[in-house]
Amino acid sequence: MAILSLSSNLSMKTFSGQFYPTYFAFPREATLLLSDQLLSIGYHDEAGNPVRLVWKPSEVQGDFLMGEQCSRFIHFSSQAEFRVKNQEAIDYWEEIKKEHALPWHRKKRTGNFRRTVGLLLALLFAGSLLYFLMVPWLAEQMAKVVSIKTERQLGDGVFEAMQSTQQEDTAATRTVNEFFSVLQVETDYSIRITVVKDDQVNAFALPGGRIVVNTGILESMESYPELAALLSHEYSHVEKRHATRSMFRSMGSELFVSLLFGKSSALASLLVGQVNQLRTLSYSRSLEKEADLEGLRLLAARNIDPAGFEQLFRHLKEAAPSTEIPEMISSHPDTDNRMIYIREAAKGQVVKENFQLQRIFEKIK
Amino acid sequence: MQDYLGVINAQSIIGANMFKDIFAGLRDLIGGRSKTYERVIEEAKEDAMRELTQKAQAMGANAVVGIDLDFETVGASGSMLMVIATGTAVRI
Repeated sequence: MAILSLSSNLSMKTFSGQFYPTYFAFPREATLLLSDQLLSIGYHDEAGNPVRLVWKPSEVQGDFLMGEQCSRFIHFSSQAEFRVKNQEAIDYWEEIKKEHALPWHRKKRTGNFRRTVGLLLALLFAGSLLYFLMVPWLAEQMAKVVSIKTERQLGDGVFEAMQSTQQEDTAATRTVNEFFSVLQVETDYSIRITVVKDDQVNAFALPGGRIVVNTGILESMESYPELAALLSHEYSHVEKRHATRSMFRSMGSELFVSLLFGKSSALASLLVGQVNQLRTLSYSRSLEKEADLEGLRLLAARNIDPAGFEQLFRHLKEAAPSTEIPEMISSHPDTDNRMIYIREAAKGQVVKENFQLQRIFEKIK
Repeated sequence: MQDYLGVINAQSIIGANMFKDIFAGLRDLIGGRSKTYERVIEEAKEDAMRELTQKAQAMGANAVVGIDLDFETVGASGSMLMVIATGTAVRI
């Protein structure tokens, strides 16, 4: 009970009493603040100026004078004394001292530390289990439920928002769509390819079947397997629902992080935000690789030269800014790595010239 | 009342650490009283009160009357707690 009353109430009491600056000096009316950290004494000196003295508990001895019925505190070095009527002050003093002599009080710090570290590790383990396994799994499940129609609406929404800033190359669009239809890919999605006038060597897929190809990447191409490689890669993104899946995954992670760190310090959320971003990038790289290999399978089934992928990567590399960024902070795998795994996967593939595709490709050029 | 020595105040600003914030965040999710934050508030209040009485004593007061405690969050994300204790130092 005593411990409770100490820790739940203010751990300090004030008393009024007499202060004796030296043993034989004239006593002064004074106040005493008694706490576990210090004894603070306030009084007025001869000139009437307020004076405050601070004693450490270790420098003080307290006792009870039966004859005078008062509590007494003596400061060792100055021999100054403070006296308070009745027993209350000394009782409180003893209580504080007893409380501090208690074994758990002494070891409180290390015990707390160990408990905190233990709890922290457990929390970290549970959190990372949730973060690395549960959240992605849930997100994938949710992405599966999304219908093709919803995906298409989503992709069209993004596409329309972009269209206002970019101009379509209608002739090239027609030819590239023709090229893709000759590949005869079976899919539930209606693949709609759009060529936009943009010098950047880039192409991307939107959820629901839209593929956007820049004129920049078309102009850099040298042969039809290269275009086939590009389209099969982007098509694999659509078919494997990469955009939808990564959207759900990053949404799930964001939600998880904001639930846990939403109201805490900016530093914590910043750190976790960075980790989150790295995870998203690593997921994005794994999706790119999946699309590469899936696209390669498509080419292999149609006996199209897998060298198209290598050419494509070479052109991407040439167009990329000269400052190479490390793979870890990139959304795509390193181009050299991509070439290596494509070359590995394409071993022993039968290649036949496809004159129909070549003819259409020459129309673009 | 012999003397009014003036209005005095003392403040204590305490940051609950990052981990306490996480635990409190979990508590927010599952509901219930957050002992971690309660302890931080208690600590801040005690510090402010202790400082207030010491200030009063240094002025030659033997009591503080009309004490008012204000609790406020400060810091960019509001995760630091500020307690301001205000009172009138008097001699009685």
